[in-house]
Amino acid sequence: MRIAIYGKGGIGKSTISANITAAMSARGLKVLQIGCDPKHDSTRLLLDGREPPTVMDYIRNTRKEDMSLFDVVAQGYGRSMCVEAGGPEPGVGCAGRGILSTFDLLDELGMERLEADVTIYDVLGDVVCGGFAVPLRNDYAEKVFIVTSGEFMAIYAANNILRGVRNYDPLRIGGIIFNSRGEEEERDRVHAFATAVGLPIVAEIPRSPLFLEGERRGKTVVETFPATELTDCFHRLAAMMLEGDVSEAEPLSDEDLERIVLGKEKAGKAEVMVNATKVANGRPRSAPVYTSRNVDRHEVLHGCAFTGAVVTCLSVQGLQTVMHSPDSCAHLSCQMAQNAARRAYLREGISIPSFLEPSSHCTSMDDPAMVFGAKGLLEEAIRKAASVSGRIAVVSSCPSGIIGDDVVETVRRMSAEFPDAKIVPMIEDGNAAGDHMQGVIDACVALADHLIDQDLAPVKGMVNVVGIKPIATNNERNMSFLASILGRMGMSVNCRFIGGTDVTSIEGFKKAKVSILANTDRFTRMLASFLIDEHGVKVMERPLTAGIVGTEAWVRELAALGGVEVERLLAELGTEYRTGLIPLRKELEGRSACIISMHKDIDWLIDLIDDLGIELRRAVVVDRSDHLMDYHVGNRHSQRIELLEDYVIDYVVNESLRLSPDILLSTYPVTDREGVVQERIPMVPDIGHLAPLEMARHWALALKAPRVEGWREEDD
Amino acid sequence: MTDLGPEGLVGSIMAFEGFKGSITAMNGPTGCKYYPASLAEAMTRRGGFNPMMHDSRFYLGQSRLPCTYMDSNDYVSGCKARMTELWNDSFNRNPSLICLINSPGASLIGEEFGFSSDIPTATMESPLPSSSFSEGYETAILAVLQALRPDDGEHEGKTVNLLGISVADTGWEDSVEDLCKLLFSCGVKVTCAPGADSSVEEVKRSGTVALNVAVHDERCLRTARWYEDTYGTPFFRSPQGAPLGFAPLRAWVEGICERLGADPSPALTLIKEARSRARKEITRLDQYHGLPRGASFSLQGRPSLTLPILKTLNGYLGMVPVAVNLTEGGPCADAAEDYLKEIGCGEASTDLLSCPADLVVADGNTAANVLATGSAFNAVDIDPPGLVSVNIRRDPLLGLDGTLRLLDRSLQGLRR
Repeated sequence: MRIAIYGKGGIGKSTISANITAAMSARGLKVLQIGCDPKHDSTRLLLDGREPPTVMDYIRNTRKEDMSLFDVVAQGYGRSMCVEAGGPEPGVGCAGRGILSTFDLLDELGMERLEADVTIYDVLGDVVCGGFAVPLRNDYAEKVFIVTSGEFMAIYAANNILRGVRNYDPLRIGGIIFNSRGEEEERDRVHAFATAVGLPIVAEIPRSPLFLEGERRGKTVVETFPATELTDCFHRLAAMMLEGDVSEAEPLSDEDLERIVLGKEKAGKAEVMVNATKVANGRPRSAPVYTSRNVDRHEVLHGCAFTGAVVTCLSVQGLQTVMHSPDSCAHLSCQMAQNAARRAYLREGISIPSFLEPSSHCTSMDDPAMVFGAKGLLEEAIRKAASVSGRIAVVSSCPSGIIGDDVVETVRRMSAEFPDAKIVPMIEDGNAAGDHMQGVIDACVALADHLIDQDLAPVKGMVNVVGIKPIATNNERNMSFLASILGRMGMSVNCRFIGGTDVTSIEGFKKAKVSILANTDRFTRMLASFLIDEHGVKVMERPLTAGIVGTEAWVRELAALGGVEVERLLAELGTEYRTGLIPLRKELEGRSACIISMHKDIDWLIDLIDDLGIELRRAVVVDRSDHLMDYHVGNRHSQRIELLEDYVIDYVVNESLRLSPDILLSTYPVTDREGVVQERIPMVPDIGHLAPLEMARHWALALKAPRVEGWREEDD
Repeated sequence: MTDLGPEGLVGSIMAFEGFKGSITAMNGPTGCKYYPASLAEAMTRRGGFNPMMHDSRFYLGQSRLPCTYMDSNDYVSGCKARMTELWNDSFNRNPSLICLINSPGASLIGEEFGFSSDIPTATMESPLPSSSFSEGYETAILAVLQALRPDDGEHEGKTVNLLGISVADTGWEDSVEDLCKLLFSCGVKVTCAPGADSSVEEVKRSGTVALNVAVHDERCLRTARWYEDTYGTPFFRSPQGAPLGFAPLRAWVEGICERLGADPSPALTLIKEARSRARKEITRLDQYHGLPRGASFSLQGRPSLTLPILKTLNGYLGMVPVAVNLTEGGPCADAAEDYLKEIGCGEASTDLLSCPADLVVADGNTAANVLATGSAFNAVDIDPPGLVSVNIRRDPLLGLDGTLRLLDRSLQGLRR
C-alpha cells in the first residue's frame, strides 16, 4: 500500500505522518516513510531526533557507481525505514526537481527491494509544481490524504492539492485529516470545505501538549505515550487509512472557496498600473525593446534565444562566452558555430578565427546543480573566462531561468572582483526571452551597450556594416566584394557588426561616420533602430543587396555622404553587369519562370528575370514564422508579387506548376515531381551587381540537363 | 572554441532514433529539437530540413523529432495538452515504437508522460543533464528494452547481439554490415543491434542469443548487465576496444568465437588477406618516402574507438601521437592512457589545435578546425559531421573495410 499525505507547510503533516508510521509499525507492518520536503525533518521523530542523510546530498556527493540503496535508508522506530529527499537552501535551486531526482534514484536503486508493506510519502503541499506532484502519479500513491487545519490558507492549499490530483487518477482521495489548532469556528470551516468537495474527515487530531513533549524527546506520541487517547486516535487513523475506501473530490473554484469557507464573496480584480513598460533583457525598464518577429507576433518560437546569443558572442574574437547551462545547450550552440566553420573551410577554403579559438565556457549544470542552484559553478566559469580575457558575455539557459538563479547579481559580484573586466549579462533563460533571432538581437544590443566606446571621433573613409549573420557561409565572400568597392571609393570597413568581428572593432565602432545595412531583414532593421536611437549612429537608407539596381543605389548614397565622385565606378559596374548578361540572355531569353519564395525582398530576382528576357509567370512570397530573417517586401515590383499569409503549400506549388514554367525558383525544393527544373533562391543571397548572374549561369546549365535524370528510374 | 561534443541529450535521442519504424517525440522547445533532428535525418538518411515539404505542426520543417515547441508560459503552466496532441499525432502514424523524452528545461517542471497504448512506449523524463553521450545513449536503450521486454527462452546456438552502436556513429550501417559478414563467415549470426536500426521484432528476439558482444563498451556495460540479470546472457568485451585495426579486429573475432565454440579461421583468413594487401601499399610508401614511420598524429574520440586507432597508427604503422583527447571515460580510457605511457607519450597534449601533426583523427568539425588552423595537413573523420556528406560507396568505420578506410585515409596525405 502506498499512501501520500499532503498538506500546507507547517500544518503538522510530518508529525502526523511520523505518528501514523509508528502506529502502523506497531501493528507489525514494515513501513517506509519518504519525506518530500526540502527541510528534511519528516522522519526525525522516528529516529530519536536524528536526521538521516538526504537523497539529494547523496546524489551530489556520491559517484553513480558507488551508490547503494541502503546508504539513504535509515532504520527507525519499530522497524520503520526512513528516507528524506532533502533539497536546496531557501531561495535557490529547484526543490521540485529534487523530488523528481529522489524518486528517479530510488527507482534506479531498486526501492522495491526494501519490501515495504506500506510506503508513506510525506509531501509539502504549498507548491503544486510537477516535482511535488510526483507522489500523485499513478505509479506511486494509491491513496491520498490531505492534512489541514481550519485556517483559510491551509484549506486553500488543500483545495489546490485536490486540483492537482485531478490531473492524475482522481479516484484516490482517502479523506481529510483535520489537525486542530484549537481555534473557534475552525471545525465549521473544515467541515464546510469537506462537504463542499465531497470528502470525509477521517480523523480530527486534537491540539495536545503531548506533541511538544514528544518533540522534546525526539519521538512520536505513539512511541512516547502509548496508552493515551491521542495514540489511540493515531491507531484508529492508521487502520482507517489501510482499510478505508477512496473517493473522487470536486475541488472548488477560488470564488466558491472564499464563499464557502469564509462566507464572503471574492473581491474583484485589482487595477493594474497603466503605462507599465516591458522589461528588456538586462536593460533599464524604460529602454525600448527590440524584438524578433516570433516574439513580436507571439508565434511558435523557432530555436532559442540562448543559442542565438551564444553563437553571436562566439563570432566575436576576443570575447569569452560563458554559458550558464547544461552541456546539451552548450553543444547545440557550439556545433552551430563549428558547422559554420567547417563549411567555410571545406567549401570556401577559409577559416573563421573566432570560431576556432577556445573562447567558450560552460557551467555544465547537472541534476544536483538544478536542485541546489548553480551560483558557484557560474562564478567559477566567469573566473576561468576572466583569466583569458577581460571581455566576457554570460548567457543564461532555460534551467537557469526555471530554477531562478540570479545571474545578474552574480555578474555584478564578479564585476566587483574583476574591476577591469567588462562582464555582459544576457538573461535569455533559454527560450524564455524568445526565439533564436531574439537572442541574436539581444546579444548585439547588449554588446553594443557595454563595449562601444562613445568618446571616439569619426575617421574619414570608415564605414561600419550592420546586420551580418554570424553563421552565413558567404560572409567572407560578401565582405570581400564590399571591400573591393569601398577600396575603389577610397574607403574601408571599420566594424562588421557583428559576424566575424572582434572586441576591438566593436569598441571602435564610432570611428566610422556612417553605417551601411547588410540587408533589409528584421534583425538588421532592429539593429538600425537601436543604433540610431540609442547610439546616435548615422545609418544609410540603402542596404547592401544583390543586383545592379540595389548596388548602384547604395554606392550613390554612400558617395553622397562621403563627398566622393563615383560616376566612373558606376559606369564600370553597369558595363560589367551588361557584359555578363549577354551570353546568359542568349541561353535564357524566351524561357519562363515561377517564383515561390520565403524571402520577401525579391526585387533583385525579378530585375534579373526581366533583364534576361525570361517570362515571369507567377511570383509568390509565402509568409512563414520559421523564416526568421523576415525581410521587407520589395517595393519596386510589389504589384507583380502575391504575398500569401494563409496558404496550403501543395496548392501553391500545384497552381504554379499548372503554368508550366521552364524553371521553378524557390527557397527550398518544393516538389519531387519528375521533369520540373527547380532552382534555389539562397537564404542569404550574395551581394553585388554580378551575384545574380552566377545564379542565372546555373539556371542555364540546369535547363541543358536531361529532363528526367536516370537515377529517378530506380524505385525507393 | 571549446565544444563539449555530443552529450547525454543527443545520445538519448539518437539511441531512440536507432530503432526501425520508431517515432521519437520531445516535450520541449524547438531549440532542443532542431539539431538532434537534423543529425537524425542526416545519419539515417531520412530527409533534411525543408519547411516547404515537412510543413506540419509538430515537425516544424523536419522529418524527425516532433516536439511540443514549449515557450516560457509552458514552463509555468505545463504543456500537458500539447503533449497529448503530439502523442495522438505520433500514435496515428502507427509507428513500431514511440519514444518520449523531456528537454532539460521541461524535465524541471515534472510533468508525467503517462501515455499507454498497444504501441510500445519508452520514456525518458529526465534527459540526464550534462551527462555523457554514452550515459544518455545507454539509458535510452535500456528504456526501450524495458518497454519492449524481449522474449525469454533457450539461448540459441551461435547467435549474438551487437551492443553499443549508434546511428550517430560515422558509417554505422556499413559497420554493422561488415561485422555481421565477418561473424557470419565463422557461423555466428547477429540477431540484434539495439540502437543501430534493429526492428522491434529483432529486439524481441534479443533475449535468446547465446552471447552479448560489446562494440563500444562505454555505451553498453549496463545493458549487458541487464541482459545477464534478466536472461542470463553472458557478455564479451574485447580489452582492445572496438573492432578496428587488424590486431583489435582479430582479438574481437577470436574472443567471440572462443566463447561460442565457433571456428574463427574464415574471418582470420580474410583479415590476413587484407593485411597482406595493406603491406604492399605501405611498403611502397616506406620505400619512396620513409613513411609512415615517425609521422605524427593527433586523435580525439571516445575511448573504445581511440584505443584501437591509437594502437593501429602507432603499433602497426609506426606513427607517433602528439595529442590525444579521450572524450569520455570507460574501460578503454585507462587502457589508452596506459598505452600512451608505455610508448613514452604519457605527456601527450589533449589540445589538438595547438599541436601540429601530420594527421588529425577526430570528428569532422574538430578535424576541419585543425586543418583550417594549419595544425595538420591530413584528416580522418571518425565521428559526425563528416568531412564529406555524401557516401554512396560503403564506408564503414569498423570492421575489415573500416580498418582499410582508416589506413587509406591516414596514409593518403602523408608526405615528407
